[in-house]
Amino acid sequence: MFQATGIHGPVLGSLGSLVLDIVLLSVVFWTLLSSTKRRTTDILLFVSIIAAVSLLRVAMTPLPNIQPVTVAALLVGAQLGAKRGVSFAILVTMISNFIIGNGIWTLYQALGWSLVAIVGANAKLVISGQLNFKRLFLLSVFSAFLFDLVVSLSIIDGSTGLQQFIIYLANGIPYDLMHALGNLTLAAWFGSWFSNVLQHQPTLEEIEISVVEGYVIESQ
Amino acid sequence: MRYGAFALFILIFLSSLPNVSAQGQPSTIQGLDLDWEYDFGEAYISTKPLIANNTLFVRTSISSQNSDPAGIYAFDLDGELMWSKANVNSTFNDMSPIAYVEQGQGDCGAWPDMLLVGWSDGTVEALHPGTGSVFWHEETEAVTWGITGSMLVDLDQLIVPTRKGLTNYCLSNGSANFEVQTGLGWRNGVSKLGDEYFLGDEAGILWRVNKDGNLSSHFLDIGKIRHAPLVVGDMLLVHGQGLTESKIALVDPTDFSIEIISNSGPSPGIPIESNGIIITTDSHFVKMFDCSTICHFVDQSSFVSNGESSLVFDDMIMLPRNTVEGGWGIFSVNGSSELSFSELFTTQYDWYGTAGPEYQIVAGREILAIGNDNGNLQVFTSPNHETSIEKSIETSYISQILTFILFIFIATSGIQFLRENYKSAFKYFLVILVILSTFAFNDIASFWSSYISEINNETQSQESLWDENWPDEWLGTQIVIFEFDNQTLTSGGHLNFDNALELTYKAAEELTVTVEDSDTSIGKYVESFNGVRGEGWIFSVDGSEAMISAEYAEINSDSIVHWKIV
Repeated sequence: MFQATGIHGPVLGSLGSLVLDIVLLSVVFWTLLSSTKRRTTDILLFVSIIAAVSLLRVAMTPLPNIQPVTVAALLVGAQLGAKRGVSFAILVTMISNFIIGNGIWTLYQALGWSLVAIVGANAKLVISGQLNFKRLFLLSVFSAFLFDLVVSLSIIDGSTGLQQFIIYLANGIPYDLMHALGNLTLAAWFGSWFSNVLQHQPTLEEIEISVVEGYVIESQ
Repeated sequence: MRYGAFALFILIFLSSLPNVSAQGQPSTIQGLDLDWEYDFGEAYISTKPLIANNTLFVRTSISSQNSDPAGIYAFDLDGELMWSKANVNSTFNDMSPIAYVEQGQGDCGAWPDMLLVGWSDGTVEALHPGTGSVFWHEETEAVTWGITGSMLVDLDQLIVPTRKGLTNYCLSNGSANFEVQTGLGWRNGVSKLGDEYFLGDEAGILWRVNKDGNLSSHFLDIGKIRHAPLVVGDMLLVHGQGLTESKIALVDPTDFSIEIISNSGPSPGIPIESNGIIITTDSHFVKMFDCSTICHFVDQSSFVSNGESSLVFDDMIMLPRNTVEGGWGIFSVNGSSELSFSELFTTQYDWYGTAGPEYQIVAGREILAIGNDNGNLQVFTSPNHETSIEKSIETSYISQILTFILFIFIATSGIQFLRENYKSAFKYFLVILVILSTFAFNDIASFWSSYISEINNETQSQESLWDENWPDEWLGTQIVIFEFDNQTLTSGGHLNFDNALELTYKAAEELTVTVEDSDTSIGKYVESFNGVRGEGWIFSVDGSEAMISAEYAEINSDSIVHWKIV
């Protein structure tokens, strides 16, 4: 299974790119809409992570299909929830593709990493603040194949038959395995650290409120 | 603990693999270091390379029915391939030595610097040494094969030993001055003594041809004559090939009287002469004769060599050993009294060989080029060549640093494993795997793609994709098509490119098509040709649409790469 190769789908014209960007940004806007007020530090942290992972993706382009975004999307989904995981996936894809190259594949990549983030959000990767490494490793491998399969769909058009698509997927197996190995390595080395970075750290004010609320509840 | 030690051993073994590959087989010969090498694929190098005008020319020969076509290759002295030219009509045994002639003028007219090539299909070509383009070409009759012997440049004429005779061409334009019929020949080069040309044939007849094309001949009765008679003073030395032995004879060219000076082993090679010293070779001996006054046998050494020999390093003889073990014998000639075996030089490509080494000193730099029937060219140069030293040090540093890092990870992983810190060992092991996989990825992806293509068998033959408007010279070579919306550009005649991207770059360079590409995590992505992007470019190899990056798309010796705008 595999994302296309150097021959990935058609390059978009300026109008096509504009439409694609608007659609993706709308999804981001929708997923980030929240009734609760966010702290500035949280927003800054989220933006920094998006920038850093985008940069890392660009920097790691010369390495064959090693995709730091996949594991990051898993953990962002696990720690910050599906909605923010999806917005993270979309923004990282858009920002990094501004440099690497934009096209119809941006849509499929964003979709692929969004799915990975949703999987991360629902996989109970973090229980009681502890990262479940066994599950993380399994999902790292699985998400490599999931993402590559989704992106492979970008080659399907009116002229692509089932057999051709299967050949295409078969050609991509070394790339999938490399993606999985890269994910596993990144998860083993940086999974715990990245998960801690994302973990919600209560402020003194929040601690005070929770203590007071606890006291009030106990008093009742 | 035992399991731990076993796992550590496996890790160390794995880590040693890239180290071996990075450093390769260290190789020096008589103080010269291996500078560069080139793999011609399935082909023989049957005749010695030639260095002229800062260019190294190599000819290859077909090795089997399915091998790559015979060709001529031109490299700069640092190993950069300048051009190549194939001859798909060539038959086996393309062993006529290539010749270089500098520009000049004569009765026939003027000619530029030229590379002269005689092919086994009977074609004679004069090529531009800088580009490989043809100045002129002529056909001679081929009976199973055509030209296999050494040609002779005589003032403004080219004397060519053809399969059935001798032809004299004007160097300037290839027009024939005369053409005579002799006996059927094989590897029967031509030599000149006085105003007459001499060549032998398979029947053992020595032929004399004068400047007007008049013939006379004599049966020497010493076996087949498979080399250009060697001029020794006013005599000719001929090493005749019998069934089980050979005879070395001196022939008086005026009356064909003959004197046998030695009997020797079967299948003689091509004798050489230097300062009155003659060296002959065959399947039993390398023999030395002193012909400075009266020819007499001096010394011999057991060795199997049936092809060319060369003078190297001032006073040494180097010759290919024509056995399955191969290698190169180096003999020193001590004055005129002794032939002593110096060393057997071996390489990783050893096999049968008949091509002599080419040795020259160019701008103070010693260069030795060797090749054999394995189709690998190796070029050794003296170590004072600055750029090669810098390059080798640079390469060596990178390789050493990566190896060092890899060993640190291996060692750490092993130590952690032995300390039963499995999690940590696993982390280090993963990094090792990533590094190894990254280095091997090109090969793995290419191999896998070829395998998938094979089992699908979607590719078409060149014949089925052939366009009648293409020149015949492109048959059997690699071809690239750039199909734009309003025009199609095609470039062919390419040889020995391994993947579609390299071939595309070369074709684009020839057609002056600009290429814009970018790196992606799945290989190079071609953005545009001549600035035309369209909605992207797709390519097919041999009619089958490619599924991987052109960088990883392996191609055959006669593949057609077709780029098409979407």
